[in-house]
This record gives sequence, C-alpha cells and structure tokens, in this order.
Amino acid sequence: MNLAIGQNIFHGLDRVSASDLYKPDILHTIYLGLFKHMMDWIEAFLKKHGRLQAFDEVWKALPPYPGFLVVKKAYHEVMQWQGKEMRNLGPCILGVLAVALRQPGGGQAIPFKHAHRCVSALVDFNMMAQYRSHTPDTIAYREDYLDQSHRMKEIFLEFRLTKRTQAKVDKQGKEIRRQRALIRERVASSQRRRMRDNEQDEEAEMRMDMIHGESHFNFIKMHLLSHFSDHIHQFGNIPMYSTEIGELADKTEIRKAGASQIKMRPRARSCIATVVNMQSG
Amino acid sequence: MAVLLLALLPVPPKLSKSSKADRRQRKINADTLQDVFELIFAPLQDVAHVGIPIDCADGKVQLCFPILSAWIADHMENVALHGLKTNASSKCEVPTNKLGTNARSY
Repeated sequence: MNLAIGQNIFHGLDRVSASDLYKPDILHTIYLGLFKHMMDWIEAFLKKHGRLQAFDEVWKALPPYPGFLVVKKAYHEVMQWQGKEMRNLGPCILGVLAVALRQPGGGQAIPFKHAHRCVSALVDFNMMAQYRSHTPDTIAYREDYLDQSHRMKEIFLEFRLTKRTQAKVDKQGKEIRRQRALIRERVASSQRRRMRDNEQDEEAEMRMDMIHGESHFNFIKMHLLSHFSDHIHQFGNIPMYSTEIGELADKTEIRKAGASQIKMRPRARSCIATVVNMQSG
Repeated sequence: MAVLLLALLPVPPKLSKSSKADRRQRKINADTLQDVFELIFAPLQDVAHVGIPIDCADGKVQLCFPILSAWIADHMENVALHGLKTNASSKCEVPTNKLGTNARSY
C-alpha cells in the first residue's frame, strides 16, 4: 500500500475525487524534475565519452535569439538551475548535444544515436506539453514521444547510479580482488601478468552488470508524465494549471495579507473614495 | 487567473527520521495540517449538497454547486495533502517498482 494510515480530508468531502485533484505541473515535473535528471545523465554520458569539453564550447557559443537568454557560463559552471534556466535550456539542448556528439569514434555511433533519440523524445514531449490547445493527433504525438523516450532511456541507465548501488558495487569489487589475491599467491609470476589483463576486463564487465541490474528509473517524476495525456482528455491544456503562476501570486497575496493586518491598503481606500464621489455627483 | 488567499498553512520544522518522539511529532504535524484543511473546506461541505445562489455573468442568479476539483501543488505538497508515501503517485496506485515503466493501467 502506498497510503500512510491517517486521516484524509478528502474522504469526508462529498463529490470530490481525491485522485483528480492532482494536476500535472510543468515547472516541477518537467523543468525541475525530468530535465534536471536528464542533464545529470547527459553530463555523465558526455564525460564517459570525452565530449564534455565540446559540449561546453558549443554551449557558450550560442547566439542570441528573441525569447532566448544567452548563456554566459559553461554548462558545468552554472551552480543553480532554477525554472527559468531550465525553460531556457529546453529549446537549445538538443542542438547543442547534436553538435557535441558529432563524428563519433569507434563503437560510439550507436550509444550516441540512442542518447540523441532519448533526449529528442523528452524535449519534444516538453514542447507538446506547452500547447494551449490539443487535438487527438497532438495527444497521440505526445504518447509517441513518451513511448520513444521510454524505449531509448536504457542508454542512460548506468548513470542512474545511487549511493547505495555504488557502495554495493565497490564492495563486490573489493571482494573479488581479495579472492584473486589469494589465488595469485599460488601461481608463478610469469602467468600473473596475463591473468591480470583478463581480470581487469572481467571486473569492468561485472561492475557494469551490477550497475545495470541495480539501477532503475523508478522515480516519481518519470511516472507522473504518463498522466499528462489523461489529464488533457479530462481537463484541457496543461500550462493552465502550472504552479509557476500560483507561486508568483502566492507572494503578492501573502504580502497583501500581511499589510491588511496592519492597516487598510491604500489601493482599497482610494477605491472607496471614488465610489463615494460618484454617488454624490 | 484570479487568486484569493484562503489561509497560510503551518510549516513545521524538519525532523530527523530516527527518534520515537520525532515520529510522534511528525504524526501530530500531519494531523494538524489535515485539521486546517478541514477548517478551510467546512463551508464547502454543505454547499456541495444544497447549492448556493451565485451571480452569473449575464446578470441572472444561478444555483451553483461548487465542487473542489483541482489542487495545484508540487509533489511533496501533494504527499502532505493526501498523506502519501514519498514515492507514491498522487494520481493512481502504481507500485514503486513500476514507476519508471510506461504502464498506464493503474
């Protein structure tokens, strides 16, 4: 069961469906959720294939364009990624990645292709989520993009490394090395070198197997994307419900609430004054 | 979008996971939050049954049955609101080990 036992106010409210109260939210689910994860994967992926430098160079060389903030820092120099930066990143990440992954070396072609497809599907999904109106066709496109990102995401699986998995992998490696040291003591020195080369390959392979076996994509923001389409069918476009508006409004409302406790708001006072004037005139 | 502030919710300090006293405090915090929600929604309770006359844009007065239908919040706020576990979906009953799949039948 996923529910903690306790009271829930919505069980007492008539005609309210608690599960329908949730509204998909572009800011938290996509920008601060999925894109953030995606950038972690991309960074690790680029590092593994030695393309981080190229990525940074392209990143810094992006020209200005209406609606696009020119980035001043290299990708890894940006310390804080907020909604604004993430929104900025959406349209350009695919191009930057494509350029950074140009001219793949031996054996890199297929991983590069998969990574590119996965990122492209996620970016397309995001773009479709911004639509203000939908037809059955556009919803079908979104479903396709989501399916594609799910098919291609495996390329990034090894970068979903959690601390617990890392610890497990380290422990396994240590255990293997200890066993081998015991065996090696009994073997002649001429054979040792050859054995060591084999062992290193084998160890890397086992490490990869372990990481692939332990890692997963089971985090909540990955799942929430699958509700986007249902939501459009039921309630309409997604930006309408974004928390971005609410969080801005929150601030002004809270400020107002604070002000009204101390004194009457000047705006309200002037309103009343005008009404009185009109009546007397 | 017109926004009206109804209430400021209490935000309790963060607690460590371990001790028994903390666990009890966390439970009290959750219950308090639910009580606040109950207070906010109390007027909606009757109105949803008997209706309330509300001015319409065309100048007439209509009998309306206002029903709470959306709650705009991020995931952790939803967790607090519905009393969920952190890795549970606020929309459906998908098991934790299926979160990363493209399953839609839950």
